[in-house]
Amino acid sequence: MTNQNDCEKRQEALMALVLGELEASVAEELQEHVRTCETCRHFHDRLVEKEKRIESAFGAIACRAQDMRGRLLGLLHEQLSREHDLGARLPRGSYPVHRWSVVKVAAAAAVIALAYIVGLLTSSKPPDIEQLRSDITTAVQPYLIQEIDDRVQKRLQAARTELKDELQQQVRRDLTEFATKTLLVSTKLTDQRLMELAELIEAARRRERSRVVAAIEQMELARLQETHILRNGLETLAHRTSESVRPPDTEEQ
Amino acid sequence: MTHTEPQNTGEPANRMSGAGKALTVELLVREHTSAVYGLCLAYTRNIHDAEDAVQDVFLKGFAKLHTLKDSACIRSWLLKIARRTCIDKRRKGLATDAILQKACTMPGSADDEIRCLHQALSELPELYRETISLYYLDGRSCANIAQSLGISEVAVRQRLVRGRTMLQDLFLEDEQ
Repeated sequence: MTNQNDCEKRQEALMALVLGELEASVAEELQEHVRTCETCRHFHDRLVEKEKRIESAFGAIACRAQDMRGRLLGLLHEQLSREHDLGARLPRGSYPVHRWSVVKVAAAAAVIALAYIVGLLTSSKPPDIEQLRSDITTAVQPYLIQEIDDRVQKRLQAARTELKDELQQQVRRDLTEFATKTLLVSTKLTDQRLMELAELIEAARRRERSRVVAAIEQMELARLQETHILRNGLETLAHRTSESVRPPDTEEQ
Repeated sequence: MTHTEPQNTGEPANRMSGAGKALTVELLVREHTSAVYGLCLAYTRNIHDAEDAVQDVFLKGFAKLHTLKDSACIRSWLLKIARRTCIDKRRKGLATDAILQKACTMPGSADDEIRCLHQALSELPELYRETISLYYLDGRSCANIAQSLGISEVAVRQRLVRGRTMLQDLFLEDEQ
């Protein structure tokens, strides 16, 4: 009884041993015990078996993860090339966030306008409109391009997400419909096969019954014939017996 | 706040800058797919949802890479995105129907084994689930898991022993 209790107490340690989480000295001592104790050895072997099965299942998952790497690379490269084709100068991940772009453009425009007004008030010469237009274009154009790029990217991302969701839902609907139809067809086919099987069994049963009836009739006929032959034989025997036992005086008369 | 100004390199853009360190798409996928897959597995209802989630995580991560401040933290950053993505998916009810999942699974196949394991995993407490998934799928390094989850190695070991003990019981029950 004491040994049994000791073995039950060791189960947790055995678990740690199988999971490789036991200190070397303790592990060695426990392994020595496992070699000599049948109960603990049985428990230990079962744990090892379970751990192998878990590892095998995770191994199968790891294979799927490995396959997925190729798919992911393809997907991300496809996205990169799409963005490149659309005129993106760098992948979307490299774009800075231009939260202050609008403010910067407004500030630049305000400074230029102020300079224009100051120049207008202080200078005797009329302003050079072409120069002014070129200055404004140089100052404002980069920010505007950045802003437009940023907004186009955001719209594209939103459209991509929406399209992906729609596709996922469509695929799910199609798969569900396919599974339902397959199930229906399978059920009908199974019913049909069962009906055919039942008909075959019924026909075989009828054939067997008719054979049994024929056999019984034949047996009855044979019995009647046998009875008839026996009766004839008995009558012949009786006749011959009566003739042989008749008294002599009867013959003389 | 400083920004990296975009430059017109004119070459196919397969590199990006993340917090000063160049990251390629290949590096991103090679180094972190297993960990992201493990975490998604812990938070979804089946393997197909997990794979959908992994794809979404990388697309989102790729799009938001410029917001990553320290490239050394990229794994924990991706795992955060993965956690949020899986929770969002569950909330939106975009998980594959259980009936469909069963229809796609052949009894006795590797898929069936994976389904049993996933079923057992889903019954574990959340903390154990993600620790165990990361352990088996991401190189079995307690130090890496501790860094990814932002906890101590001792805590990782405790979760692993308790979680794997529970998993052994659950996995066998499901198979029976």
